[in-house]
Amino acid sequence: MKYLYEIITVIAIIIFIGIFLYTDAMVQASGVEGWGGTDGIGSEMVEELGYEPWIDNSDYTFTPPSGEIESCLFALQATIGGLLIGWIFGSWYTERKIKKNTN
Amino acid sequence: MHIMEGFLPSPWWQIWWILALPCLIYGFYKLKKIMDENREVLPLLGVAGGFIFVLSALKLPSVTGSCSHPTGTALSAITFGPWITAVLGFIVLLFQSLFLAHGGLTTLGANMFSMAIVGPFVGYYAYKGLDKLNVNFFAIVFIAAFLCDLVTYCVTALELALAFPATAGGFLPSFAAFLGVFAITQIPLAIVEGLVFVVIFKYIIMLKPELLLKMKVMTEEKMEKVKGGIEE
Repeated sequence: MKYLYEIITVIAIIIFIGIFLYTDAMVQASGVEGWGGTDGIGSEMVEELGYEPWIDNSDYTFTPPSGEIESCLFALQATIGGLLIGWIFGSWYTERKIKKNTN
Repeated sequence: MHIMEGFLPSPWWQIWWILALPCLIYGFYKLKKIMDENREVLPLLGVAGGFIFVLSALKLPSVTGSCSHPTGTALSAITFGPWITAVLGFIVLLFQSLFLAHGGLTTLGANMFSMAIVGPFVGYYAYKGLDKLNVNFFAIVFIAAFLCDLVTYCVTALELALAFPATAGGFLPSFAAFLGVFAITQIPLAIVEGLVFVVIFKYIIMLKPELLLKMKVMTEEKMEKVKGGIEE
């Protein structure tokens, strides 16, 4: 099958979304606020031991002042990567096409 | 997998920095060598770095009711090896610690050690080992990418457990608790990431197989076989 790997991947992603919807229904029903980041949960576990972080990002740069600014910066990070990938794959694709046409 | 700024006390953050630094320096040396000798593989390096940027920015919900992100290091680890991946991972993690408050400069050593060094190392050697055993190419890519991702989170759990052993029982119960948070959330994400990298490798083989040959990712006979399998 020509698109075997694509099909498997799409099915896996659909199952992944299905699991999310199911888990989300359970989280909503339980009334607990869910979907925090594991990074944050790990830090909370440490804080529960009575540990105080001794330095903070705002000591030398800054912490994103709001969730919106944080998602903006994350989107920026993904855009940089996406542009690079798209540009290079695009040139590879064109290069191959030109080679095919000249042969 | 980010350990937040300030969440590793002395001497742990220094220890991880000392372990990560030589790998990073050797990575820069390897990178310079490639830039001097093999300039035609640089676009592939750009793509490898691009995937680390994109995938490590995506925080996805998982089965445990919390969110986590893939690492995206597999393409770089398989084609360029763990050392150069250490440099690419360092760039991403530095960006995140300076502008996103995800991880910090003191914990950068520990975060590099998990995401940019040990994860890619395990993925790379899993790839090389299974390649010698002549396992199906795409199956190996899946396993290597899965390991790159999952091992990263296991190392994060290890780093936190070493710094914060449980008051009752010490290191092991603490390690188990952190693994419960990091590793279990990560398993479904690692599966999806593994499959995504299978597709990425398929497209690279379709468009630029000569770069993979140049980086000695596989032999020419194997490449012919894999190509035949794709075009069926």
